[in-house]
Amino acid sequence: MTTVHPSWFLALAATLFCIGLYGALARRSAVAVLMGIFLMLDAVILNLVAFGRALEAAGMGGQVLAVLLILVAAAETALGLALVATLWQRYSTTSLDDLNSLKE
Amino acid sequence: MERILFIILGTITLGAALAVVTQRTLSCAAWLLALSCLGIAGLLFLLEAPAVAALQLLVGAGGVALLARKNEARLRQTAPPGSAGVTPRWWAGALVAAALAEVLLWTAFHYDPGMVPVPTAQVSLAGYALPMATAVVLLATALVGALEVARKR
Repeated sequence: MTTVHPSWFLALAATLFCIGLYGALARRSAVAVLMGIFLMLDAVILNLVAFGRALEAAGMGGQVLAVLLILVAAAETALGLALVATLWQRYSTTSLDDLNSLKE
Repeated sequence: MERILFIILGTITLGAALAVVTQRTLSCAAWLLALSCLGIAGLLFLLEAPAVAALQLLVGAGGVALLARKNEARLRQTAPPGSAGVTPRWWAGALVAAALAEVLLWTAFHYDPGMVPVPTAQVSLAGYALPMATAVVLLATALVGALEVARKR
């Protein structure tokens, strides 16, 4: 049993989530935005496992959900990078500020 | 000992994450993301979840490091150093993130495990076989879709 209080893990996960959120909102490059989203997903994984550990009666629920989330994160990252590669092939840019044709 | 490990791993994780979102060179940001995933894997080991930690090491740290290594030249090509900066309204994103951080941190330190009702049924691993299989099929489909989308015409 870990001696670190679960609140510390939750606080760390919350900080990591907000750092990822800033990266997803403020960065110009699509790849950088994907990295921010990946950080947010990692924070949620940490949160799930921390809650699962804190609520002993929940058994393996937290860990199983975390594993499912890792798989979803991998799928999302793969598709996101494929889209970025296609954007680069077609428009020679990955800057989200330049990809604004839907505005017109 | 565990508290010291938590502080070290937490510092590595948060420091690397901050560097990822402020780094102007994408190839460096990718390596720092792998370092952050390494820190998270260490924290998962601390939470006595070795299976999840091993998967995080493989997919998170390993996968990202492999992507960064294989695509270092392409990352530099798509975003020359200094161009992967922030948008003009970066301050709005910082404001939203700071507000959310305040709310979440307050909730985290006022969290009381005793307030959450204890489920009456014990969750067993066997009950997750179908969702796991579905998730694996989803991942395989996503990878095939990604290959098709990225294929040069």
